[in-house]
Amino acid sequence: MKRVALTRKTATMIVSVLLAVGLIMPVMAGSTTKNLSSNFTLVNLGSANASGQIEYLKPDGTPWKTPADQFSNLPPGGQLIYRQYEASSGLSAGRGSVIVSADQPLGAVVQLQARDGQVPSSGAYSGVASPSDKYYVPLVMRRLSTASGLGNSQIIIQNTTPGQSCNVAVDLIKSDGTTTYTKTFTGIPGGASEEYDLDDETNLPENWFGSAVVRTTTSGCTVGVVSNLFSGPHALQTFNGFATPAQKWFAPLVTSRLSNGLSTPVAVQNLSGGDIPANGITLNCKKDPASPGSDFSVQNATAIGNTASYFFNPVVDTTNFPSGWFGSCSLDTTGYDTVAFVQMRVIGQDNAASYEAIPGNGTAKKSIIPLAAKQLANGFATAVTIQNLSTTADAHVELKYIPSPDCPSGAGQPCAGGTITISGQTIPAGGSLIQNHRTDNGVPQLPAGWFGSLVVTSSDQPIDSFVQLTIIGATTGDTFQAHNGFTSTP
Amino acid sequence: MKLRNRMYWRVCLVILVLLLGATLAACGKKAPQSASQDVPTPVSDTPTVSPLATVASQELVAVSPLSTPVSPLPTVVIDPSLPEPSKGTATVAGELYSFVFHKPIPGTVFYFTPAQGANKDEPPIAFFGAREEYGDVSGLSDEEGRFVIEDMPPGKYFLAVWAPYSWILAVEQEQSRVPRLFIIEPDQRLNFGRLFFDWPNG
Repeated sequence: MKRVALTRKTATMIVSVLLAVGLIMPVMAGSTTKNLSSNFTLVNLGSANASGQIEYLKPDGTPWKTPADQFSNLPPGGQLIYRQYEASSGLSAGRGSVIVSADQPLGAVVQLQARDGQVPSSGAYSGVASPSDKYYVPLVMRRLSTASGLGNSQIIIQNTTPGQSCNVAVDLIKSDGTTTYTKTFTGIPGGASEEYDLDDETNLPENWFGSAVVRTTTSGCTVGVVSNLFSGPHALQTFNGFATPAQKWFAPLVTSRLSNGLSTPVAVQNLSGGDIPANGITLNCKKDPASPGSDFSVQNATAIGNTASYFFNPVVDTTNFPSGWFGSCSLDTTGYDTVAFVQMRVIGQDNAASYEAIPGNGTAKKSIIPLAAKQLANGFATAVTIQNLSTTADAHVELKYIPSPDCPSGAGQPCAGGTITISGQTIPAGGSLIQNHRTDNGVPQLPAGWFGSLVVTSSDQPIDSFVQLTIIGATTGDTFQAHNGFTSTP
Repeated sequence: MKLRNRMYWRVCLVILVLLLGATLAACGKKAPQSASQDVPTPVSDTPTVSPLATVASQELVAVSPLSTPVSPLPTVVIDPSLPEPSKGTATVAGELYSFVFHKPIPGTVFYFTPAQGANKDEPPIAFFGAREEYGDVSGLSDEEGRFVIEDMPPGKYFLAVWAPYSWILAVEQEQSRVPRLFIIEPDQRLNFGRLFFDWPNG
């Protein structure tokens, strides 16, 4: 890799990464007994080659590695992978954070995994590009008994304020809106991160669940927040905290007790400043054309206190959520600011994932999925769901499947055809389009074995997306991941 | 005296003969065992046999890569059954294997990437995917996870296999976290046998 003298320019993005690298002893307290480690993939979302640098910081704010890693000549759409768990990364065992700076807009997908022959646990999230002085986490728990096993949360907080130490408070809020406990962190160095493991928080009772508000208490400070939600011995859901409330959200894929066990509880956190009364918010669900059943709506049955969360849970709500149903849902909270996220739980198995609900006020008409794959021989396959953010007009989209440079492209090989464009697709108003690359019949334009990126462009309505990453036939642990797509305005 | 002396020496000679006979007998019992082709050897005791080998084991010669100081050493087999490489290059073969799922990794792209650092024994810190201009040599495993690469330039390499959002390096043995360094000499036909990966934990 060429090294370049780097000048920081306009586009800067920050990635917060939880790292447990090297041969550390298993942690016997805390949400998991596993050793997790990270890798991340940078995606150049710009129009020119990207150069940049990667700074690793220890929790005390000192450099984890000197000099910082640098990169250059990352082409538009190109991807670059850094793996913190390898000795060659130059990182000592431990935990830390990362700041990525570049001269082009970048996206980052971070993976957390149990490696070295451990039973798989895996989660994915997007690098934090828009820090804020306040972050919301709709669902956190401590030693909660769930249908998927004992549930515990970690909240990872990165101080994204350059060169400034910051104090941070974390309010842990019960479903009735009362604050059970406020945890404070003082003097988090600029760029560094704190890991708050609720399993260790003795000020919370066991079997506790609720929501969290992470707020800086030092003027001028901003943070980025990621949450890890563990359930049972292996399941891991990793998702970003929310900085910006909205009054309409989309969950592009909601499932209710599918035959494969998949259900998707939706958690919505009230940020209105007051209570939301019963029936104040509505989950409007529009079935996928291939789903049995019909469209339906469900409302919150109880009032929701300020900063508390309400849970639409198809795992246990057999009255409102029909079995075997799947489709997209919009969450209408008119008059009330909220945030929401979606769990993907495979009941009876270790697999779990999650994604952030999509704010309904988005304006982007291009959505980028860095990795899509159809039925690879090794079992990996993705399913991409694209959401039409308009509830009044159909979206007309073009899907451009761009093969990875690494995908075999010789005669007769999966990527021999180059870029595959699927035009003339219509997503109904408020609906979603599922590009299921897991099955023979899903996206027949793609041959099995194809992998690359997917760029979806709408000619009219705003869109957004998320992707599920699956390994078909995985026999053990949690290999299920999901993350949101990256958006841009053409 | 003389008679007693003679007797003494005769007794000593008999004892010596008996001892020698016993020793020879003992040796004679052991020697046929070690040479016997009929004595079955547990498979686990024959690390030189490659999963890919299609020739009789007598034709295979095990060599240890110079770069692997830990024991047990990964095994490399000079495999005459592999295609003969062009002069100055090598033919290499192996099987991509997940020690997470305990099965081969089929239909998956991989690449050998030149070792880095002053001693040419360090893996890269970042992965772009295979780039021929940097000396990477890529391939695709078959439906049983196996591969053969002909005309491989000699050198020191690490082997990276594709995984979701990652590339995973081959390690020296199951559960190991030590990346395996491959030393490829010219004009060799090398079968690396089973190559272990923490797949899909990229």
